Amino acid sequence: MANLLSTLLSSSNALNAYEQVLAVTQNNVANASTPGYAKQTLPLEAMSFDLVSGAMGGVRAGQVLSARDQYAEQAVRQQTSAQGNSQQSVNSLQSLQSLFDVSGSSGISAALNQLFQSFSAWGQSPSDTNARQSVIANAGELAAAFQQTASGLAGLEQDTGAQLQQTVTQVNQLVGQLQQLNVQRQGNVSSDPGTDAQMNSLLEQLSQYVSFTASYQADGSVAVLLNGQTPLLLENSQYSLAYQPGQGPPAAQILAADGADATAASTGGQLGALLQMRNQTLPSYLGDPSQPGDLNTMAKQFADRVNQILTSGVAADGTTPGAALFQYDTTNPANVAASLEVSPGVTPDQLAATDPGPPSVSNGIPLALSQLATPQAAADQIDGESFSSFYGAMAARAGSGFNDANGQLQTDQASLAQAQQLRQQTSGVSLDEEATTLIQFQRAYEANSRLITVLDQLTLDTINILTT
Amino acid sequence: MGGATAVERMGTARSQIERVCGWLTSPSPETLDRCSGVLESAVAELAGGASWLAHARGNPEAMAEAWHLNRAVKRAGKLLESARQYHARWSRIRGAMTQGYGHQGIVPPPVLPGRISLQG
Repeated sequence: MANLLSTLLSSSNALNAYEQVLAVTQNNVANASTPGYAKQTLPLEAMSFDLVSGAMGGVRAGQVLSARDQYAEQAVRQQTSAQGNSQQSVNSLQSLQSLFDVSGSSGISAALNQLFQSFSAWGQSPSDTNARQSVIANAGELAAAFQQTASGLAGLEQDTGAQLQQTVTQVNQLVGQLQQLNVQRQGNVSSDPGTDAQMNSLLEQLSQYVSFTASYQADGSVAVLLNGQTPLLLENSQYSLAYQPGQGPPAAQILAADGADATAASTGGQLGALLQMRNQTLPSYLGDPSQPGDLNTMAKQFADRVNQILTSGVAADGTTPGAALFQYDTTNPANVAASLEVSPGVTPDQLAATDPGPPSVSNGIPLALSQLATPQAAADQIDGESFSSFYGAMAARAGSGFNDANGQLQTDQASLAQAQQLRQQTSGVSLDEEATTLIQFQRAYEANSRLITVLDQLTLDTINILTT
Repeated sequence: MGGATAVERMGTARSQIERVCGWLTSPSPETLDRCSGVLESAVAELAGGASWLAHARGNPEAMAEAWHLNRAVKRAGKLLESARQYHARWSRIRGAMTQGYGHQGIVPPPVLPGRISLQG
């Protein structure tokens, strides 16, 4: 009789267990298309079998476990953050690259070539008024090109600032929604698939903007720390970030809720890329209170050298000194390119062609100016290279930055897809099966890794052969 | 002519590596086995390059293709490494969770549980 009751009890437990499994499966089907939903599993545990003590074996339902592996979720968030960062870098650097034309058909590069040609033409007919007029006109074109590039960079600074403000607002809004979920979840430790899904979806959205760590607390709430350092969300309290533009450096700051500087902690996601653009990349071109920036350095050195050569000359009468061609704002080293212009009122007659020497050379000044195109003397160079090369390097930096960011974006997109796939693969896999797979993986990784190393070396050898 | 051959060879190797990149976004022991075969083919394609690359020196198209190829290899390497790290880290976490930390904090590898138990 006792055995019969035990058998019936065992059957009853099994039926209850399978009923719960069915409920979990139905829940999975119903939420299959819910963003951020994690498949739920109900493990069945074996019960002990001992006829002496009346234990009849069978199965019972264990605690409902979320198949969402926190580890897999974190990996997806890390890759989302990396992808957000590289996507933003591509967008920003594309705008920057468009300001620098290296083809020589427009912008500073073309204007510089035109001016060098007019110096050369003036050297061939030093007393020709048209040749001098052409020098003044081309100098005006070059100044306008510097102004235009500086204006484009300043516009990019403003856009980046606006995007920083929008990103910080977006981060605060998402953390605010997470805080609402924390309030709902506190004290309600049992897993609610709907709330879990919302929380994971919000965390994934947030990771696009910033890099953070999220950890689940015993009371069911989630704690979010910016880059593992600055609190954004703890229990029911949200700690909002603030964007503070300044003159720099740094030009843009992110402040934590207590007013502390959290800029250094804001390295990942879109926010990290925008800060990099605003605080590092753009000042390297346009300057800030700590540096003039390459565009201003070039504008100043070129204008100063041209003026120095021109004012060292004398007019055909042998006494009247030559006039300076360029002028700019001398009070702010970061405003040279934006303010560069041809000195108002300068006329062709004031451009002195004669180098007084001794010996005096009638076209010495335009010849000296022509030398700026292919400089030999250190005084005609900037950082040891010609002005054209210096500009080319500036443009190439923008171009290669854009190309690198594009390559990084491709890799990050693939890595994100991989992390999402790995999350999907681990969901619902038993620990036994997983342990076996891990060993198989390990062997396969080693074999592939050796081949990748060989291929990497082969491609580098290929590049070397092609370049030598 | 020589340049075209070099470009074609590198293009073939690149398409093989890009196929591997596609597989590596969904890594499993089976896909990794397939990757090994294709990577070996890519190595064979590029091996002995000194002879056929010499004709392509200074060819900008060949140079561009070489850089594309190098980038594809680096991307494949990154994907392989991130998948390896994913499993290695999880393996360590799992080892620590199931067996604790050993001497000097070393985490033991996960143990394959026995599946059959016999009693007399």
